[in-house]
Amino acid sequence: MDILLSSQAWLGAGLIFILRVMDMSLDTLRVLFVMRGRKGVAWALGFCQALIFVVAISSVLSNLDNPLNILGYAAGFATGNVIGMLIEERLAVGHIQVSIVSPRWGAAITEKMRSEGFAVTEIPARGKDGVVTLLSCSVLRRNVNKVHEIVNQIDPTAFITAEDVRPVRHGFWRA
Amino acid sequence: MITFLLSALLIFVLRLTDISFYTLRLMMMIRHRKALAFVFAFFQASVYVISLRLVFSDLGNWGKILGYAAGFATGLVVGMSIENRLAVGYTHLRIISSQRGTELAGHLREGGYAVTEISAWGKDGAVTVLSCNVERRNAATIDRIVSSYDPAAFITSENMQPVQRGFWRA
Repeated sequence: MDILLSSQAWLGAGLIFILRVMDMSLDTLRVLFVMRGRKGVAWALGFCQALIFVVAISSVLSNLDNPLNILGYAAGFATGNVIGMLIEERLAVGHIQVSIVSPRWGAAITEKMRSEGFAVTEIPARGKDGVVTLLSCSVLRRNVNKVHEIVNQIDPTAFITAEDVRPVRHGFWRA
Repeated sequence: MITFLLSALLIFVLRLTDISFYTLRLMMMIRHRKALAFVFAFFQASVYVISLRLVFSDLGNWGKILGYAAGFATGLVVGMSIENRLAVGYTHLRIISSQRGTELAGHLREGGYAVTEISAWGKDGAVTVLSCNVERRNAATIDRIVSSYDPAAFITSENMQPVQRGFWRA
């Protein structure tokens, strides 16, 4: 138990934690960028991550002889993963297709969205209780909250879902 | 010989465990489930780093190497199967039926699912597109309902993030 009292041991474990957080954040970002087909960014992230791993982590890995270091390693790994996901959400790179189902206010939502500069496709459809409007709207990912806000102002009961999409060509993307 | 087999088996089991967690973690990342990703990442790293000290640092014979590789591959498959069983998240099903769209929608609604019907055209005339957002673990039930009433229906599914409200069958 004397290991828990030595500041040296805590410092070592802390260092392992921090290195692993850095390396895993980059790794997570890389995986998420690969999913979106962003080759350039994925390359840069892969390069930095591998560099950190080879220089720092691998030398630390051979030195995992106490439980504190192991805990630091695992906690750093898990924390880095979540931080990577948070950064990726903040960056909000990519495109998203938002579908909005509104029973009564389809036209009003469309008009408001168009006046805000979003491209909307209206599709008449049927729900359980009669005619509804299905709005299909492809936007940059960082605009999703804005779309949500607009829809909410007009019809708080509208049903909104989002899917990742890759733009194939043309169309209209609000800058 | 016994120790040879045992050490290979141990490596196989350890690698299988950590790669299963790895696979689960990746799947949770893709679905933006941070808490679950954190938990799986923690287990993955713990198992990995402990087994690294125990055995991975000495892959001195082909039995161990084989155990390592087989454990890695099996872990991927096991992780994917577990993830499918857990069925975390939501999915968007798109069902295209040439003749029985409205009837299908009726049956699905009877089953308690929310369906939006859209009229559309296919090669041989009018078809109905049914758009149905459900929890992933219900997707198989929907598939069964649709197949029993219209075996020719075309069904696709996509990962989806619910932004707001609507009707989710419990």
